[in-house]
Amino acid sequence: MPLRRIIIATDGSATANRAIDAGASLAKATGAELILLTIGGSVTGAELRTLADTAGDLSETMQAAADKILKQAQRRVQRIGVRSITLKTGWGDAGDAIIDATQRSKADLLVVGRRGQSRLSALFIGSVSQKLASFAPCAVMVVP
Amino acid sequence: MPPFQQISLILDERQLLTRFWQAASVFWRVQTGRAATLAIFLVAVVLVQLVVQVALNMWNRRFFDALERKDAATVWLQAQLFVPLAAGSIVLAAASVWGRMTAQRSWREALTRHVIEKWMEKDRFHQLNHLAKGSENPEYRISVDVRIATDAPIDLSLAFFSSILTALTFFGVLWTIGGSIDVAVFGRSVTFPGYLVFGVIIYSGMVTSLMIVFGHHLSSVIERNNQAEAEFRAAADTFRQEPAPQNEHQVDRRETLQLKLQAVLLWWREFSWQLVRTTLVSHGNFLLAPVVAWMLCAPKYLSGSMSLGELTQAAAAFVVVQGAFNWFVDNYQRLADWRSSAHRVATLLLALDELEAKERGEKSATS
Repeated sequence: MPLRRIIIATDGSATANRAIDAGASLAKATGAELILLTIGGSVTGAELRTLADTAGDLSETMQAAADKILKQAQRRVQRIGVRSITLKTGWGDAGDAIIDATQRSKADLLVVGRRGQSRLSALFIGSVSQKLASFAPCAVMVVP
Repeated sequence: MPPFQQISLILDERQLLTRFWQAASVFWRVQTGRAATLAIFLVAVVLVQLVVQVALNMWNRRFFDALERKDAATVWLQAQLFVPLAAGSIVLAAASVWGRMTAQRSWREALTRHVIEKWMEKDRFHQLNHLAKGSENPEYRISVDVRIATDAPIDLSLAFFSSILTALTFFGVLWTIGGSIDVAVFGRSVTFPGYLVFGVIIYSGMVTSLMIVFGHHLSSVIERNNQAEAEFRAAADTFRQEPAPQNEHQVDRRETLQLKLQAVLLWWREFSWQLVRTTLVSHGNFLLAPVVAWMLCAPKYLSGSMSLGELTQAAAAFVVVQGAFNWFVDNYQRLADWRSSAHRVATLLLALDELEAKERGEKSATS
């Protein structure tokens, strides 16, 4: 199966960085187009209360946080030597949003880290990578 | 495309509220007779309700005194007296609902017609859709925000008026029934006159302070939640109006829609946590207030200087006064809802004012 398009999901964690390295190396080797995806929207209650009191814009804050993660991922990928990069942001439940973005972009391979930042929630509701391995519409590479 | 510059509305609180009241007062200025009649009716209902409330409070005392004396004839008489008092209270509650909703409907009608007139004149609704930032979703502002912005002031001001009168009236009851109490301090007897009045003030102050500590973010969170809902509606509206469904631009709009939904969900989550926190205080108060009243009265009842009827009357008065003191706390959410709706109506009006001013400028330039 030729790899035309690879999508890498990142949350800025060390595990996600390893997934970026693996996915980018694969994209460089195969000449595939690379999509970097992050799922935004994890904001703590304390951050929300600060925003409420200071009239800060939540949408802008979330967008800025997502952009920061994507820009860092982009620099990492560029260092590996991949030039054809598309940046995408999804919102809401990480598993659902990644599957949705994978379907829309018609990716041939989804690359994710085995464990993201939310360890406690993963313990209770099952990890995102397990969900993706079961339900993603393409091949999934889970990087330890 | 009409020859207007894009309007960007960056407005402060005072400017918004001034513009809102300027427009909202149209009902009170234009339909003065009807507005004054409704206002007098509503104030009269509040006053008569207070009289009935005092009568019920006094009934409480007579009924329980008769029970304590095992005076069957008086108990039966009081039971009969309760019927007209309860009937009066029910009729007044119904009259209050009718009066409030009639005033709200009339006020809403006047303000909605005023805003619609400005919006439709010279096809401004069309220009507003394309040119004015900060006034998205005008249909929602005209229908829902105008309703909230005219409903709340009537309910809130009547509740405030009623709370002040109730507190003052029942202070008298607490002062008279409670009287003074002697407390031993370092071996000396100290007399506290009107101790139930000071008791209710201290207790209410503590509850309000706790509520402020537990829910001091509530008002701003509600406002932000309402704003996020409005932005989500505006994003959905923009998405719906997109003519070419499969281009790149649409993809951005889909992301924007998801982003706005995420913001709504996050604010809603914080709102629910704020409500959980304030419920700890409000429900605690609901359970504690009558017990505190009984505990304050118990020494006098046990010493024989207060009858059972006086104890129940004082306890009921304590709870009533305490409830009146809670006006601000009880209406936190409605105040925040009103503020955000009034802001959105005012933003729309100011955008229409801008368009109107530009139309006048154009006209004078061509003549």
